[in-house]
Amino acid sequence: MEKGIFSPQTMVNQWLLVRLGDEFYALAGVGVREVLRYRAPVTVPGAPPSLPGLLNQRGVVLTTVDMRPLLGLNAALPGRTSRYVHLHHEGADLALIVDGVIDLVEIDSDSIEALPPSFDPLRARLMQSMVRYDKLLVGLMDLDALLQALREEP
Amino acid sequence: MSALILTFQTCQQRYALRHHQEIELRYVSARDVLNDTDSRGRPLLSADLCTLLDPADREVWLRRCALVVPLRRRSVALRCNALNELNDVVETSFKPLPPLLVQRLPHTWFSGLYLQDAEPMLLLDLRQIAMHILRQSHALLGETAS
Repeated sequence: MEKGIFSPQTMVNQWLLVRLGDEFYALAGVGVREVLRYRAPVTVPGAPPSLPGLLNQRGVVLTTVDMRPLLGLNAALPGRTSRYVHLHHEGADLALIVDGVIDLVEIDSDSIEALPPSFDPLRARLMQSMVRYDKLLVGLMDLDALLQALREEP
Repeated sequence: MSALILTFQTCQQRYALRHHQEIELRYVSARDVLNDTDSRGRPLLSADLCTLLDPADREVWLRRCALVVPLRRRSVALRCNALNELNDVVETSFKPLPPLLVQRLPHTWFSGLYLQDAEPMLLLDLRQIAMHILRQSHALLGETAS
């Protein structure tokens, strides 16, 4: 474990900023359990590219999630800064593969903006809104939509 | 409760399977299996288990073992590399597969995960795999006949 286990009580307005390629996304802190160093998962023959395998984390089986195919990003090999973000949402334990974890930040609800109508629909369907943080344009992930996409999309 | 677990390796990763009495273990070459019969004298239907699980694993000359799974009308020999271990393990070593993943899999080949010293391995359902091979064989024969 790289960071301590996040306490849900302190996570209400907190978001974990992560990087995927050149893009930045925020994950609601309330669902984040921990950040893990990347290690090769157990691959499951026949699984879709968005679900590349499984991890055992202290007896909890995590389904690894690669959001790249869902976001239309090219496949990439894990690097030095690659991490898993362990999310618990709607009874599912997911390990999201990210290219880097930036920070755990507090986001003021006033600074949250609606997605512009021209926003790429491939990304927009997985995001609830966006925010500008330190000159970065950050998409706030919609975990319900992510789970839905993982259940249905190739 | 405990179970006997066998493990073997493809070029990519290790797999585990529960040892059942009805599954016969043979140490043979690929050619032997192709010409062999099951315990009732029926010709064996043979398939390469390692390539089935891991299409990149093409080193068929390494197969030293066949797991013979009896079905109602035929037996299916699933060839794999030498079996690594036979362990008597407690039921707490097994975990179910996450439902999110299970509903996305095209086959029901895996019955769960086996945790060996925290290392997870997919637990194979050999009967389901054997039935898949049999269905494939029937489909192939049907195509040839037509």
